[in-house]
Amino acid sequence: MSSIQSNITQYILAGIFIVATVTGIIIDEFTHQQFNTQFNNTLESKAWSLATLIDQENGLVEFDFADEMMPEFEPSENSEYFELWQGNGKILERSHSLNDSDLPFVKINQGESVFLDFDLPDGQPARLIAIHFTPQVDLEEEDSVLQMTVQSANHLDSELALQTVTLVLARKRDKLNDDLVLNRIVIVLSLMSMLIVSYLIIRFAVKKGLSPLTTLSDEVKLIDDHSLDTELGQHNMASELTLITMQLNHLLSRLNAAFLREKRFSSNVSHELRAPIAELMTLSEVGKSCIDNPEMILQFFQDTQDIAQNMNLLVETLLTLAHSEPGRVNTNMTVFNLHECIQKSINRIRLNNKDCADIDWQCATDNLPQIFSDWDKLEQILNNLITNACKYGQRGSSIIIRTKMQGQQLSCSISNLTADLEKADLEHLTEYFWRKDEARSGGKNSGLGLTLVAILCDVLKISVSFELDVNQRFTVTLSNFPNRLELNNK
Amino acid sequence: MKLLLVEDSERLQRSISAGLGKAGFAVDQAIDGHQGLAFIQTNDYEVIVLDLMLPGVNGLEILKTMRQQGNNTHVLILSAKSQVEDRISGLELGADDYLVKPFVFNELLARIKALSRRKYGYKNPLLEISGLQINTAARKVTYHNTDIDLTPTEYNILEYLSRRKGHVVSHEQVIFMVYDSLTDATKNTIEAHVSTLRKKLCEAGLTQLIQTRRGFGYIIE
Repeated sequence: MSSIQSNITQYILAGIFIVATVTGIIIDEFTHQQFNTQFNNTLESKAWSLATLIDQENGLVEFDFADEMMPEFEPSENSEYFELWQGNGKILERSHSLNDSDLPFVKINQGESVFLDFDLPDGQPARLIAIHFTPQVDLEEEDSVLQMTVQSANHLDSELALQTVTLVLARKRDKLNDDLVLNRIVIVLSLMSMLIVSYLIIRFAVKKGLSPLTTLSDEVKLIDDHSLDTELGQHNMASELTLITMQLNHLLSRLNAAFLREKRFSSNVSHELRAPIAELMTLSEVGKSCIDNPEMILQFFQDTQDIAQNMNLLVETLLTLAHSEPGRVNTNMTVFNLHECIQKSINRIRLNNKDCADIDWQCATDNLPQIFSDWDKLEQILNNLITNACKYGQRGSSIIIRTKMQGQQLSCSISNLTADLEKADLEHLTEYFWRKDEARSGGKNSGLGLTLVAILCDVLKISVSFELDVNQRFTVTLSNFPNRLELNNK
Repeated sequence: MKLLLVEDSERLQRSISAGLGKAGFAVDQAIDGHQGLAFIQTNDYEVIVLDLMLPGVNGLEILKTMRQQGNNTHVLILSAKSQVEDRISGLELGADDYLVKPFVFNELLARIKALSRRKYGYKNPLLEISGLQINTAARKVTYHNTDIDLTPTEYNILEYLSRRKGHVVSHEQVIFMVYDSLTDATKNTIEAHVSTLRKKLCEAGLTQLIQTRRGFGYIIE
């Protein structure tokens, strides 16, 4: 697996390497040129210095060379070499350092010079400069400048008769080559040193720069099932990681909530089952010892049947909840009148629950728009809400069902007076197995009625809200029913 | 022996009471916290079986209140709350035992009997008085290896008097301990049972075990 640190280090190093190599090559080339130019200039200036020692008189070329003044042309380890040719190719003079050998003769035009690398007879590399020129004429006893001027025309006329010479001056190249190699080695070593130092600096800088990421990674590593409530990025967090940290914290928080919900759900389910199982176990154990009491046994059977029905109701409700997630449940959407659905629910509840409180149905208008919804599911919602109002409403108080139009929106509210509900309880109403009175667990009240209402409303895209006023009247409002008008628009 | 069962599930209350009654206990039943607290404050039970999640006043509140009022009756908590913290808080508030639902009835019975023995300072379920052996676990009475056949009420009276050996026990105390609050028993009923009991003991060869203190009640010395 690649790491950001090594990737960044590698990319930066590669970049530096490329830049440094190109720079090194340019410097090498430049210094190479400079060394050669300097070498050549020295060679050339010396050649022309020697040329000043050559003159001609009456067609004779003279080389006024003094050995003792120029020991470099004597045979030695660092000797220099020259050789002088007349225009006709006749050798006029050669340095002692050449012994009897010759330098290469280079044919060039007058006034030109040329550099040439070659190997000396002893095999050592050398460079020569060849210059072709007309040696100066030795004007003896020139009395005056005027005379010279007068005669100059005559001289020019006889210029063709003047001798030209070719001077070749050579010098060993090994020192130059050594300097060039040394220069290249210095450049390469500098480059390598720079790369090593750069690597160390980059590594440190990248490590330092990525330390918030490492910190975050270490924090994430420590998170397990039991520490999902950890909040990441509390210390030394870089601004670039703020969004990631926020998202991670959000994700952790949702995970934690889901874990807690699942744990609470499992705990609630097991708790819900404990009471009926305890009842069943005791009924069966005690029942075995009471076979001589048929009346009691009959009662025990009745109890067992009630328990089984309650457990079945619990399981059915849990299954309905499990199958009622939005997107998973099939809906049979039709157009119908909400009043008819409410009326059917009320009739059913009155039939099954004779103790139910007085139900006062107040309808703001008879001319309600039709709604587009799933009849069965909406009826289930209404049944749950009205049954809850019957169960938990204060004795003697009435349940008020109100349907009305708010602008274009239809709403239906079901309210009842309640004794013990508090405002703080409203946010828990749709939680699984939540009951105001925990002691009511294990009986016919599964604590899932409003959970189912909330989920079914979600499926049917109906808004549901809960209110508790100062008079302890608890109201559930269903609103935003899709109506015919919306249907027509669609 | 007299117990109080405070349990909001009518079915569980019915079955537990039947089972305990069958085992010889007189059981008073309270369906909610208020009723339970009222029973506790007016009667002296051997053992109280207390549910925690009760309508009205919850079980822990009842326990706290009764301990604050100096009531030292043994309390067995019977609850669906199974977490260690729940058990710890129940025991720390003064409960003597904690049993999690669902439970095996015989275990509940055994625990109640153990608490009952503890009330009178006995650890041995076998009571022995003047050669009479009362096996409180098996609810069996023998005298010199001869079984004495007693009815549940007679046995309960004998066991109660034996546990209170050396103490005079009034008719009202016997009625309270032997019958539940719904049974309408009188002094005459007790006298009739004691008479029959004496007769059976006499037939087995044990005379003068239960003595009458006129105007006070009965005593086993």
